[in-house]
Amino acid sequence: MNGQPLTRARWLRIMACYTAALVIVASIAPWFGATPLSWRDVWAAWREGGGNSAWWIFAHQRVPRVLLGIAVGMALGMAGAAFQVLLRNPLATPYTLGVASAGALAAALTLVVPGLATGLGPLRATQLSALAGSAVAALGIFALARRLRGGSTNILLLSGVAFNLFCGSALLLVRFIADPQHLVAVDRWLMGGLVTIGYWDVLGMLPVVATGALLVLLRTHALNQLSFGEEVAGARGVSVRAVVAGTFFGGVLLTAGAVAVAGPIGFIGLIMPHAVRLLSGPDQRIVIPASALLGGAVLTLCDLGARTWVAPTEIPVGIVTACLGAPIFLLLLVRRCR
Amino acid sequence: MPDAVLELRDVLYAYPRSAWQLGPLALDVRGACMTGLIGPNGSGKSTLLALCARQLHARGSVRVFGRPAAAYAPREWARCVAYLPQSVAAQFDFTVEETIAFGRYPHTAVMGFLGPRDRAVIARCMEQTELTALRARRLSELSGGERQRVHLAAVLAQEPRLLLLDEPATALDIHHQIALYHILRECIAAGITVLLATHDLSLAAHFCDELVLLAHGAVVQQGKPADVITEELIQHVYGAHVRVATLPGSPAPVIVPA
Repeated sequence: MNGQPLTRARWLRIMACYTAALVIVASIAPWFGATPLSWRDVWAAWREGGGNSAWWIFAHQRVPRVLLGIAVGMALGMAGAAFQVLLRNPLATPYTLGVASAGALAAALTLVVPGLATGLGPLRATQLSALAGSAVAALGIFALARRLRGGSTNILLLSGVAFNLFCGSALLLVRFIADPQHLVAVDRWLMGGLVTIGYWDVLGMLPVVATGALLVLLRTHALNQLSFGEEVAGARGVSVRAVVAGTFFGGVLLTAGAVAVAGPIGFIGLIMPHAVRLLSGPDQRIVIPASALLGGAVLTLCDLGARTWVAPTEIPVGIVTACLGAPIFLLLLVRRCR
Repeated sequence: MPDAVLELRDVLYAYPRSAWQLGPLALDVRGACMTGLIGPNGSGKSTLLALCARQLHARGSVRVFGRPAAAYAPREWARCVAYLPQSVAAQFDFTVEETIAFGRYPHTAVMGFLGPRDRAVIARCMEQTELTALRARRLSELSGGERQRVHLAAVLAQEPRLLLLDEPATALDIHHQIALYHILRECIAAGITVLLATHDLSLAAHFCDELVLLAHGAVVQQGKPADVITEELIQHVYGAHVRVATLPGSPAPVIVPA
C-alpha cells in the first residue's frame, strides 16, 4: 500500500502472497475433520491404488469439500468486490441485488413442491432451479434499470434492493404455505453449507463461476476508472455501458454459481473486499482478484471450524461465517472511524 | 488563422421532461486557442461542454478534428479529447500519484501497467500542477483546491489535443487560478486547444483568445474578449450593472461593479 501507481512486479508480488495464503490453507484443511487422517495411511493407500477408508475419506469427502469451499469462497469474494465498486457502495454484497434471493426462492420452491424440477447432468434439481431463478432475476433487474436510465448503477441498486425485499417476502410466503416436513430442508439450504461428496458439485458450478470471473477480471482497471464516476470513466475511454453490463453479469454468475451449490453463505462477499483494501490499498486490479483468493482461504478455514468444533456432527458454514464475520466487520469499522 | 477543431452545426439538446433546451446553435472552436464559455447560471455552459465531450447525445452534428464525434472509438476519442466535469467524486482514497496515473488509461493496455513514457508524462504533469511534493498524499488529506488540481493533472496526463474543462478554477485560490491559466497557455503553446466554462469574466477576458457568451441555451455573442465583454451585453445577459474598463498595458477588459 505504498501509494505509487501499480507496477506489474508489485501486482505479481501481492498476488503471490494471497495465493500462498490460499495454498497453505488448502493443503492443511483436508487433514482435519471428524475422522482423524494420517498422511501415512493416505500415502500408502494412494501407492497401492486406493482402497482403505482413509483414502476414501480423503479423496471423496475432504478434497472435494475443500475444493468446493475454495471455489465458493473465491466466487463470493470476487462478486462482493465487483458489486461494491459497481454500485459505488461499501455495504454492497453479492446478495444486495436480490439475485441470490431469487435463486433461494426458486430452490425453496423446488424443495417444497416435489417434482417441480429435475436435475440435469451434474446439476441437482435445487441447483438448477436456483441458477434459473437467479438468471431470471438478473435479466429482469438489468432490463428494468436499462429502461429507466440507460443502465445507470444507481437505478440498478435501487431496483435490485426492492427486488431483494420482494424475494425475501415471497420466500416467507413459500415457507408459510409449505408442508412442515419440507421446512427443515428449506432451512438447512438457507443456512448455507459445503456438504458434498465426490466432484460433481465443484465441476457443475465451475463453468458458471469461471465465466463470471473472466467477465469481471477483464474489467478491473476499467472499474478503477468507474470509481471516479461514469462521466470521468467515459471521458477516459471506458465503454461505461459495456463495463457496467459485463461486471453486473459477471457478478451475477459468480453469485448464482456459488449460491446454487452452497446456499447463501454470508459475510464473505461483504468483508473480503474491505480486508483487502485495508491490507493492499483500493486499486481494483488488486482488490478484485485478491478478494477472491482471500475469500477462498477464509471460507475454507471457516468450514474447517464448522467441521471440527462440534465433531462428529457439524455446523452449517454459513452460521460460522456470520458469527465470525459480524464482529470482524465491526472491528474494521471502528478502526477506520478512529 | 487555424482551422476549427470543434465544429457544432444545428446542435439541439433537450433534457427529458424539461422545457429548457440548448440550441439549435452553431459554434466553431479554433485550434490551438483558448476559448472561454461564459454566461449566467443555467445558460447551458455545462450542457454544451458535456455534449462536446460525448457525455450527452445531441441532435445535429458535432465534428472534432474534421470527423464526426460519434465516429471515434472510445479509447481513440480519449486520446484526442479530455473532459473534466465540474466535480469529480472519488469512491476510494487513492493517492495523488495513483489518481494522476489513471489519466493514462487510454494509452495503456488492459491492465494499465505504466511504461517509461507514461511515467515521464505523469512526472511532468505533477511538476506542471505543483503536485510533486504531494504525490504520496491521499485524496482525503487534500483541500478542495488541491483535489481540483489533481483531477486537472489527471486530465493533462491523458495528453489530449482538445481539452474541455467545466469550471476548472472554481475551487482554486488566486495564485492557483492564475497558475492554472498559465498551465493552459503552455498547453496552447504546445498546440492543444482549450474550451473552458467559467464565471470569472476578468480572468477569462485576460487569458482567453475568444469568448462565447451563452444565455438561455443560445449563443449571444462570440468573438475577442473586448467584443464580448461590453457593458451593454453584460447588463443584458446577466442583468448586472457593471462598468468595463481596461488597465494600462493590457487590452483585456476588466469588470467592476457600477
